[in-house]
Amino acid sequence: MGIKIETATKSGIKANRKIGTGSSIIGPLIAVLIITLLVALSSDRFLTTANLKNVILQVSIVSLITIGSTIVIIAGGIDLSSGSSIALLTMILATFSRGLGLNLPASILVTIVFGGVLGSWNGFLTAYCRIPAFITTVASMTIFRGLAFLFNNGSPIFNISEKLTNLFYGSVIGIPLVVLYIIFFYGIGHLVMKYTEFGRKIYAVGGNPDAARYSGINVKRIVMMSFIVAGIMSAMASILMAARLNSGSPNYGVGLELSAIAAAVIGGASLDGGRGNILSSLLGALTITIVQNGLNLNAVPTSIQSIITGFIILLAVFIDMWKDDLVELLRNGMKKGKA
Amino acid sequence: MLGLAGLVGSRRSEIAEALFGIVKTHAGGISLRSSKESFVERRFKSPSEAIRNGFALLTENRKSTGLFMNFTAQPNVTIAAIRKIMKRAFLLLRKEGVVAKSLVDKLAISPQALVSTVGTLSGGNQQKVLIARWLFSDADIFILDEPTRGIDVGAKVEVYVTINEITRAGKGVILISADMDELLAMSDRIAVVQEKTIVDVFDKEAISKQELLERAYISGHRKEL
Repeated sequence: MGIKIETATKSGIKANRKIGTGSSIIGPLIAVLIITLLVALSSDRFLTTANLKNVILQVSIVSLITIGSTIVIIAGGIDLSSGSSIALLTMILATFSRGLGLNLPASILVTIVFGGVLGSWNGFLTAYCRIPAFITTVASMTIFRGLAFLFNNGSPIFNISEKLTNLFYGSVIGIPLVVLYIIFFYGIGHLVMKYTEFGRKIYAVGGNPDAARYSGINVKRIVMMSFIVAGIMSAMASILMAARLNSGSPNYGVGLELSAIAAAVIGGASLDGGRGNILSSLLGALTITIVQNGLNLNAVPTSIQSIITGFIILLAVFIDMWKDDLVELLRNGMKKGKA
Repeated sequence: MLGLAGLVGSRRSEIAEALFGIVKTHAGGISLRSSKESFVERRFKSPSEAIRNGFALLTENRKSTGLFMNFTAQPNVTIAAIRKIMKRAFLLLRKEGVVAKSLVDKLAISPQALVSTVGTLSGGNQQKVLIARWLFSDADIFILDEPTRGIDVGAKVEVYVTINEITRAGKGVILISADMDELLAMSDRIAVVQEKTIVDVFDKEAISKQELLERAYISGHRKEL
């Protein structure tokens, strides 16, 4: 279900702007509200300023990767390499800034460019070498992780730059910088996906790649570009990741790709492609982060956390696959109730 | 209007796909009239190039190579000429809605197409959504591959009426069909296809249904032997 906006045209006929590519924001909104309520009930430390600040910092990293994951999923692919990309990119940032003595803005720029390169690698293999996105990015997951360990003999690099930490913990007129990043990137993401040719073609390619090709879309190029966007968003997240502890580490980002995919799916993106909504994905990222925060607050051991995260992903995909049937069931139930 | 006659299995669709830049061709090209006397030889490398040059291809299989089943009519109609609803870098969703609405009205497509996904529409309505796509793309040459297959009689008539409007507007139509009555009624000239090759070309007046069927059948049959 897309968001339905009706506008009256000159002749007085209603022209409908519904295009059917999006997914409703209501489901994810309910999910995030229920989870917030449950976590708040389970721990009285949840609604403290310190903890909420922590949640916002955490969600910023996940949510930036989620933008890339959502776009790749809408285009009919999947990106399992983003967690490893982040580890590799923090090492690249740290090496350029500290090892090679490049100044911080230039190092950040280099990191973003490398993010695009990693994305191109995934995109090239998927689009032009016809390797399924799942296989490509699983391979990239271990390749990128391995590359990250090649830097600095596999040890973390500390004390990149004091200025870097400000990018993560800083605030402007009382608003945390990370909130501004989220607003900025999600604003652009939403605009691009809904109101540009590129966004529309992403939906078309994910919806039906053959029909897209017969309609004159360069399918390979669009798939390639979706992965490049994902790579660049991983780079953005990696900068925040490095800023959090002012360090680069080959161990960063383990499992983050799954959180980002789960966020997109909770947000209503269909793993079949062609359907999803950037703004809903943000709610998905919030849901995932609050769950993890709740588990931490209740001192749930990592082993159990890992199991729970796995089940959330299963549940989200299950709901995605059975969504239409569930809606049907609910509707019939309501009709029966009325009759 | 040119009709392409051929039995199922004569691979007549491949001619259309070759024209449209989907399958690679080894020989042959398209002569396009660039001015009154001169022609340019062209061979399209991709569907987008074909579309830019005024070609439209309504494929035989609307489900797999035509429609975006999960979308409503709006994006389905505008996708091949998306620039027409753009201002600078942005899509004008309101304009898209108006454009789709007017085509839905014009082709008598169920208004349901504007609010629900095209996957929920009848075959006839789905086919008309695809015809709307190519009308919106302002094509000059329409290649229609089995445009009336699997749709009900009412929709069939509407499709014929639309095809006649297209030709009346001075545009070219290449109709591919296994229905000889349809071909004889609609075409000016008919080419018989076997094994993705045109073996004969007739003026409509010069051939009867019986002869046409024999041509298509015998040549196809001979191949099998």
